[in-house]
Amino acid sequence: MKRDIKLEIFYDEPIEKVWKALTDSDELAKWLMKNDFKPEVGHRFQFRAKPQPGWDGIVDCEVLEIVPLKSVVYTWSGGEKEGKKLHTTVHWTLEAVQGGTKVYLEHKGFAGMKGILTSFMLEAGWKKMKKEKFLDVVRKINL
Amino acid sequence: MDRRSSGELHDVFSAVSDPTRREILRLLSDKKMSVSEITSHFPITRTAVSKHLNLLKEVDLVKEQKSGRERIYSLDPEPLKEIKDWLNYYEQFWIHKLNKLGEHLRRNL
Repeated sequence: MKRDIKLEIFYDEPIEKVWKALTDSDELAKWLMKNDFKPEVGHRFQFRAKPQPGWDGIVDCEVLEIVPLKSVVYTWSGGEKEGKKLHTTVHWTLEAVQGGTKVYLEHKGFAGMKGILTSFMLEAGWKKMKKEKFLDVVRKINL
Repeated sequence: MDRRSSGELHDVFSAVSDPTRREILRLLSDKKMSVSEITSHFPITRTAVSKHLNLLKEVDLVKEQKSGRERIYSLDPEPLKEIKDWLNYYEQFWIHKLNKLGEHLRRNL
């Protein structure tokens, strides 16, 4: 049982430049989405994309952590339906390496779901077909 | 995945975020049960259990069959697959954005 989205990428650019692209509102808008981000812990902001059917195009965020040239963490709540949103967090970590910068991106927040699946696996008296069916789904989900 | 199914997914999330509903799902994973049978496992009223069941039914995690005067409930774990779609959606989203960031770094800064 693992998962949450984890990505790692190398850019042959200095860490200062990558940091700016991640934490400057205008720069962020050029590659991610329009926003009113500020690199201050506690700052609430939004990313705004073009609304689509079933989605208002808004992601509500709050800065949780800022360590200059090192890490940015913010909440990411998007896809509203009847006032309910899925609450996740986005974690950016930078590392200066030879010839450039390594960027680690983690999108977390499936913790609740993971816990549920785990508790099913551990505690349930899974039997017969149901068990097979459910485990198959869990396997496919690969959480 | 489209955004509509992502909305439905939130409902699945919230449906299973409640400990009583999780316990109901666990009970149903063992066998089909009537409301009375389910209620006997909880210190709450039958009405309260019915409310939970209705919510689980709405998100298609449980199915209801009528058997005489009783309603029998069974588990359907299929909607949990949507979680996988959701993860896939965001994984693609971020891969795309990280590539855009790379292009942006090369061209504009």
